[in-house]
Amino acid sequence: MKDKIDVKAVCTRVAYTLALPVLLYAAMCVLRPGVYLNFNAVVTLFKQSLIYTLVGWSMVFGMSCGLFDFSVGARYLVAALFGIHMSQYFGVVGFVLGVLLSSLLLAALTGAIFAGLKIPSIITGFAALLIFESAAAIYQTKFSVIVTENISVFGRSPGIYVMTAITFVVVYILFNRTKFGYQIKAIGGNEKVARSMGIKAVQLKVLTYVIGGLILGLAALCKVGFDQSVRAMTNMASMSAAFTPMMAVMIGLYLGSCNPVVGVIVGSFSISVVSSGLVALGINYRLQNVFIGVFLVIFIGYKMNARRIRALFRRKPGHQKVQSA
Amino acid sequence: MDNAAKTVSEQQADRALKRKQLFSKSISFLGLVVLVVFFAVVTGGQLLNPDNLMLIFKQGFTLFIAALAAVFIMATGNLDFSIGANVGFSCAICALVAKSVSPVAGVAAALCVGALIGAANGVIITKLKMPSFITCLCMMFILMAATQTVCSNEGGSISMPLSMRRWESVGMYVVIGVIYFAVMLVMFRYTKFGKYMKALGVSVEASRQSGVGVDKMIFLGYLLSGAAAGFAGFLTMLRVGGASQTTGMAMTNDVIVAIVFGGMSISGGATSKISAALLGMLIVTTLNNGMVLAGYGGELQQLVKGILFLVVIAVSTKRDPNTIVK
Amino acid sequence: MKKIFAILLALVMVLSLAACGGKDDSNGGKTDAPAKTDTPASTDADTPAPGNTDGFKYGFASWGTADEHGRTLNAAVGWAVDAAGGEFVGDAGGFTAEATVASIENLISAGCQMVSFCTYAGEASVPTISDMCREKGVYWTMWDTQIADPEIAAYIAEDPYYVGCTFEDNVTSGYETMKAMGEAGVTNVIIIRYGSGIPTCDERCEGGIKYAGEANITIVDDMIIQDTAEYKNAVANVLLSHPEVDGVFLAGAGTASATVAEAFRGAGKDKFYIGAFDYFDGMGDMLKSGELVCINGGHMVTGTFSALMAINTWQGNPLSTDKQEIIIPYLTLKSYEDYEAYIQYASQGAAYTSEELQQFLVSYNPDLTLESFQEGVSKWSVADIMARKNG
Repeated sequence: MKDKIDVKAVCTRVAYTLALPVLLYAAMCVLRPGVYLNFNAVVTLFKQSLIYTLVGWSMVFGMSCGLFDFSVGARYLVAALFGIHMSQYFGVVGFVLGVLLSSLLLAALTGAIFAGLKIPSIITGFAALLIFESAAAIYQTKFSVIVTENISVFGRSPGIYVMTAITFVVVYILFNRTKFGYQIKAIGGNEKVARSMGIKAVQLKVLTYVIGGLILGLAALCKVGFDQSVRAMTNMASMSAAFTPMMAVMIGLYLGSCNPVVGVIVGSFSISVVSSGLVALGINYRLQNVFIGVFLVIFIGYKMNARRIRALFRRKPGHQKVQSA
Repeated sequence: MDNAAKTVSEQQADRALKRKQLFSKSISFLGLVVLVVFFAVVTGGQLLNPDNLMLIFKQGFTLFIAALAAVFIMATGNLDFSIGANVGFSCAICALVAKSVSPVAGVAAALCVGALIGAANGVIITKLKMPSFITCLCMMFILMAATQTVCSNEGGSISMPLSMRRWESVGMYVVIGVIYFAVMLVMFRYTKFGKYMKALGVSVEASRQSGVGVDKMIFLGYLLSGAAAGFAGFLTMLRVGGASQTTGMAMTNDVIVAIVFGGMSISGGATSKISAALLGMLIVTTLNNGMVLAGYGGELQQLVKGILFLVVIAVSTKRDPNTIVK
Repeated sequence: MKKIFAILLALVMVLSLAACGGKDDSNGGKTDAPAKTDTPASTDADTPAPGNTDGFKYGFASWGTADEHGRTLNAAVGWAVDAAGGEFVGDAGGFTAEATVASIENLISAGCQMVSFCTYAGEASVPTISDMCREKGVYWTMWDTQIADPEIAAYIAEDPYYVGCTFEDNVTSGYETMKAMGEAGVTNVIIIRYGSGIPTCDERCEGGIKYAGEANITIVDDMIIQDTAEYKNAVANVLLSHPEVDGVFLAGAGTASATVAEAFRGAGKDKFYIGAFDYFDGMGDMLKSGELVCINGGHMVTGTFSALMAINTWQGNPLSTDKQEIIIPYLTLKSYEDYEAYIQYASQGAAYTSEELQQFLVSYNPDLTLESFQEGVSKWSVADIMARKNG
C-alpha cells in the first residue's frame, strides 16, 4: 500500500474532501460577511461540530458494515445519567468509569441481542431504544442530575480537544491499521465474499457494537460537560440526538475522497455550518432538520449517481439513453 | 437411495416448517388471549366492559389503517420510518384545508399529500438509489419540521370545523374498517403486487431475475403506505378534533411494534401476513388501555412494550446461520 | 410447545414486574385494590348528579413523570386527592394530542369520576374531550391552561361538566423576570420559547418584552426551540453575530439554563444573566453564582387546586355557577437564600398537609367561597410555606 506519494493525487483528494465545507462556509461568508469572516467563527463552529464528530465516530464501525443503530441516543442518556450519579459518590473517577463501563455494557448488551436473536440492526436498535429510553426516564427521577465543574472538563476548551485527539487516534488506528478494520470494511463491501474468505462476520459485528460503545462512552464524557445538562426523553425523542451524527457519518462514508474517519469530521463541520447559517440568515431554527435532510438527499443522491450525472453532461442531449429500471 | 434420503429429510423439513408456521400463527393470538385474561382479572372485568372494548377499537383504528399498509413495506424487509411524520403532516394539511376551503376538500388533500410523500420516498429510493432507511429518516425529520411550521403559523394547533364533529361514528369505523381490510387482504394475497412484495422480502436478486419490476413494486409499496398515512392523518384529525405540532409522532413506533406483535417476521418474505396488523393493533391498544385501567400509566408502558417486543422477536424469528443479518 | 410456554411465562413475568414497579410512580395512592366497575357519577347526560360523598377516582393526564415538573405535578395532585379521600389514577402519554385524548378516554373507562388535563399539545382536542366527558357524565378541569380560541371557549362554556381551569399569571411573571434581569444589568437579551402557539409560553414572553420595551433592553433574537439539547448551539450562533448579548430569557425548560451558561462561557463571556421558568436540579448553584437571576416554578399546585375545584363540584358544592378560573402564583426564586428556603420547606414531602388542603373543600369548610378559595391559593409562596411549617 505504501508506494510513492503522488503529490498531485493527494492534492486533488484534499481539494475534493475540503470542497464541501469550504464551499458552504464561503457561501455563508458571502451572505453574512460580518459574522463569518473571522477566525473566531470558525473555531466556534468547529467546537460545536466536535460533539457530532465524537458521537459519529462511535457509529462509523457499525455503519461501515451496514449496521444502523438507533439506540445510540438512548444509550447515551443512560450512560450519562449513571456517570453523573456515580460522580456524586466518587468524583471524576466515578464519572469516567461510570460512563465508560455503562456505555460499554449497554453496547455489549445491544450487540448480544443483535447476534443472539439474529435480527436486523435497525430492529435491534429500535427495541434497545424503547427499553433504554424508558429506563433513563425512570432512573432520572431517582437522584438530582447536576453536572458539577469537575466533570465538565471534558466538554470545555482544552479538554474537549484532547479527548477528540485521543479518540481520533484510537478510531483511526482501529479503522485503518488493524485486522478488525480491514475485516469490517470487507464485510461492508461484500459480506458473502468476506464470509467465504473465512471472516467471522457475526463476531465482528458484535465487536463493532462493543467498540462503538467504548467510543460512545468517550463521546459521552465530552457531551455531558458540553451540554451541561442531561434530560431523559421518551417516545423515540432520543432518536433526534442520533440523527445529526448519523448524517455526518453518511457524508463521511459517501465522500469517497478521504478516509471515512476524517470524513466524519468534514461531515459534522459541514452540518454545523449549515445550521449556524440558518440562524444567521434569520431562518427559523426548527427548519434546520429540513435543510439537513434535503442537503443529505441531494448529497448522497449526487454521490450515488455521480457517474450517470457526469455522463448526462458529457453526451449530447440527443444521444442519451433514458435510464430506468 | 439418494432420492429416498432426500425425500425423508424434505418431509422432515416440511413438517418442521409447518410446525413453525402453526406456531408463529398461534403465538400472537395466544399472546393477545393472555393479555386480555391478565388485564381482565387485574381490572376486575373492567377491560371487557362493552364500552371499554369499543374504546380499544376506536383508539386502535388509525394504527390499524397505517399498519395494514406498512405490512406491504415490511414484507420486503424494509421499514417506513416516515409513516408517523406523514400522518402528522397530512393531518395538519387536512385540518388547514378543511377549515379554509371545505371539509371534503380536506379529506382529498390529506390523501393526496400522503400519497405524494409516499411517492417522493419511492422516487428517491428507486431513482436516486438512496438506502430506504436513510430516505425515510430524512423524510421523517423534514415532515416533522414542516408540521410544526404549518401549525405554528396557525397559532399552535389547527382545529377542524365544528361541523366535522358529526362525521365520527361507530358505523363509519366499521364500514371503513371492513372495506379497507378486505381490499388490503385481496391486494396482498391475490394480486401480483402483493405476491411480488413478499418475493422481494425473500430475495431481491431472484425476483429481478424472474422478471419482477423491482423498482416499480417498491415505488408502489411506498405510494400505498403514504396514501394510507394520509388517510390515517384524516382519521386522527377526526378523533382528536384537529392537528397539532406533535400529531403522529408516536405512530411509527406503534406501527412497528404492532406488526411485530402481530407475528410478522421482521425480515419480511413468504410468511408475511396482513392479519399481523390487525392482531398487533389489538395487542398494542389492549396493552396501553389495560395498563391505565390497572392504574399503571406512564413511562412503564414503553418499558413493557420494549421488553415484550424483544421477547416476541426472540421467539418468533426464524434463524438460519447462513442468512446475512444487517 | 416449550417456546409457547416460555413466551407466556415471560409475558406474565413482565406484566407482574410492571404491576410491582408501577406502585412507586403512583404517589402512594391507594392503587392496591382493583377498581370496582361502577359506572361514573351519572349516566344521565347533561344533568350533573346533585352530590356525592363516597370515595372517588380522580384521573390525571400528563406528558410524563421523568422531568422535575411532571414528577412534582403528579405528586401534588396526589396531595389533594388523598386529602379528600379519593384515589389518584395517573396516565402519562407523551406530548401528542392524540395521546391526551386516549389518556382521558382510558381514565374515564377506568372509572374516574373526574379528569384533568393540560393543552400542551394544542387546544384543538379540547372540544373532543368535552364531548367525551359530557357523554359519560364526568367532571373535568384543565390545569395550567387558559383557552385562547374564542370558538373553543364558547363551546366548552356550554358544557355542564366543565368545572374550570387553573393557570398562572404569566404576563406579570414574565415582566418581573425580565425586570430582575434588567436590574442585574442586562442590556441585550435573547428570548427562547420552548414552543409556538402555546399561550403559557407566549404570555411569559409578552410580559418579558413589555418590560424590555420600558427599560430599553434590546431583544436581539426571539426564537423557538423545542429540543433543549439545541439551546447551546443556538445561543452560541447568535453570539457569533451579536457578541453584545448578555442575557437569555428562557420562557420554559429551565433545565437548559446550564447549557445556555456554557454557551456564554464558550464565547469567552463571564458576565451574563439568565431568567428562566421551570425548576431544575442544580439551580441552587446557578443562583449562588449569580448567573441565574430569577427562576419561576413551584406551579405544580396548578394540579392540586384544579383537583380541589373539581372535587367540590362533584361533591355537589360548586363554588360558582359559572366556570371557575383560578390564578396560581409562581414560587419565584431570586437568590440562594430563596432557594435554601424552598429546599428546606417545600421540596421534601407535601407542601400542604391534608388538613390545610381540606380547608379548600366545602365539605370540611362550609364557609368557602370562590373568592376565599382564590385568596388561599394566592398565598402560595416560599414565605407562606415557611410560616405554615414553622407555625
